[in-house]
Amino acid sequence: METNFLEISNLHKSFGHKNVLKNINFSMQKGHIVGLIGANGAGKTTIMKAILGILTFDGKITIANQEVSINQHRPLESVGALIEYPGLYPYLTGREQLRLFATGKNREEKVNNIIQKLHMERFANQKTKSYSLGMKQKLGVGLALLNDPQLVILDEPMNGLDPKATKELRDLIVSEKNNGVTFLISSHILSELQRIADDVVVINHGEIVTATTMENLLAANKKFYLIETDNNQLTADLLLRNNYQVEQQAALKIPITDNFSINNLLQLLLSANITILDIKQQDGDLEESLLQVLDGQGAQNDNLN
Amino acid sequence: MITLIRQEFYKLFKQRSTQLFLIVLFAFQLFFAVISMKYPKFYSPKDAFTSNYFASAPILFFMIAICSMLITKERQFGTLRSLLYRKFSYVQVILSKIITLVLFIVSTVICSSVISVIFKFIFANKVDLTEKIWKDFLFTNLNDFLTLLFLISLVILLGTLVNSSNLALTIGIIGYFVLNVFNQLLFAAIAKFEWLKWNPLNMMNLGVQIQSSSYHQLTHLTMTQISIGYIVYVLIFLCLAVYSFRKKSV
Ligand SMILES: Nc1ncnc2c1ncn2[C@@H]1O[C@H](COP(=O)(O)OP(=O)(O)OP(=O)(O)O)[C@@H](O)[C@H]1O
Ligand SMILES: [Mg+2]
Repeated sequence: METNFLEISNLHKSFGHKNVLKNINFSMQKGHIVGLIGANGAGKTTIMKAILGILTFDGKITIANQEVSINQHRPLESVGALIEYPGLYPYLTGREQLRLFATGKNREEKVNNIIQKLHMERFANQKTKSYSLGMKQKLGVGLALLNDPQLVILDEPMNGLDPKATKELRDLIVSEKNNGVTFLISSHILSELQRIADDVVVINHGEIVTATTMENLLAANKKFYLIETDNNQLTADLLLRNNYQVEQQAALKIPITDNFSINNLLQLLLSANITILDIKQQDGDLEESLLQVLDGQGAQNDNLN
Repeated sequence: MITLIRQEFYKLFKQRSTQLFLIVLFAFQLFFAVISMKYPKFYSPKDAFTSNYFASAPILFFMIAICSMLITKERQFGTLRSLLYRKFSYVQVILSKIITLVLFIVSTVICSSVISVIFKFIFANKVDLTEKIWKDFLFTNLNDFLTLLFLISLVILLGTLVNSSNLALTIGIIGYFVLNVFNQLLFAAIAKFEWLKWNPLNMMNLGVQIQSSSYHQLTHLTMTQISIGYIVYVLIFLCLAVYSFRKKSV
């Protein structure tokens, strides 16, 4: 059964006269990984802070059907989070830090578990003031996962992680997800979440641009054939006459539209005696298309103001 | 709440400064115990004991220091928000901190008293434990404790209002000296303007007035008035601290 674990409706937030969040609505299904994508200052952290009850806001946020607000923290019992940067006591070791925040029974087991899961054995017994950026980040993620949370909120968790650690973290997130944990993960880089997120919420200037499944977002992302011939100009004219779209670059860039058939295209070129030097299929640049969406939106907003 | 208090104690005792403080406190008392034994004329063993071997001085400074940094340190470490985005409310978080401090102060005062009694038997065995000496000793402790409690509730309030550890600490320490000086001036002022007796500083004399009721002539407050006044002011300071903490952005 699919249930909405987290629901946000009509979320508004302003700091003084500055409207930072405008009518945010989205929900998250239990056991899904949701990516929250937006540029710097888009409002990702602010949304997360609202969910965690450390901001006043207008609107309604529920976790497992229980309402959260600055005065109502009960539902946060099953939530773990890392917001912006990990807050650490410099005089404690990583292990002590975990011990401090571990609650419930078998605390020591939980601590060892996290150290193992995040591959922190090497530096767990070192004071955190001597940690590198990546070590701190790992410990911060570890703290978020410590008390077997149902919902985990991670604000740019890949910050400062090397490629190996990034992959390890991705794998860990997926394996936790398979255990039924729900994730909200923010990033300004879509590709970082492309492989793991089930759903994406894209925000810009405090407004939702799209809230959809990752699959849909990827589907909307056009694929191309890049074709190189002995006479690109001639080929382009020929294709345009035959109702193909051509985005001419160094090579001919032909978006793959519905009912597209590579056979037909090749036949057309061959029958015109055009020599094909090279042909390859290419995925569209997700980031680029996202930026286009964002830019379009930004321009719209500016017009409105 | 028990969880929160347990966590606060864990942090407190893991800090080098706390460990150092406990050692210094012991050394401090030992120093004065030895001095009073070696130079009884300069510093009589009886006075040394009844003054708790001056334990109140290090206790006071250390407590002011940690109270003033109660919130600012957490902010500096970036840990304040991780304390708050849990199932616990803002009020529970700040209350757990205050309760931990009060428990720590009470146990430190008790420990230092026990140490004083032990030192008395080791270094001042000749002093007879008359009822008067016992009383003086207990009153010193009570007075120190009451002064401290009043001060820290004020410092905790300050600590929630300002955002810098150093500022809160400086205000706390300077505040203590200023309070002491003003206290004398205030008595003169109260003699002139009766209503001034209700000012918070005057309530800090609760301890001395318990010890010698003649203090009533200086404070112009009856025992009941000063007791209630004391409690009310402490509660007001702490409530304001809780309120200002709830308004913090993290
Ligand atoms: N305490 C605050 N007071 C005033 N403005 C704030 C405050 N916190 C955030 N803002 C503003 O809200 C907007 C959104 O900030 P937020 O931190 O949510 O962005 P973000 O999407 O997390 O960006 P980044 O990718 O840089 O982390 C920004 O314009 C920021 O200036
Ligand atoms: Mg942010």
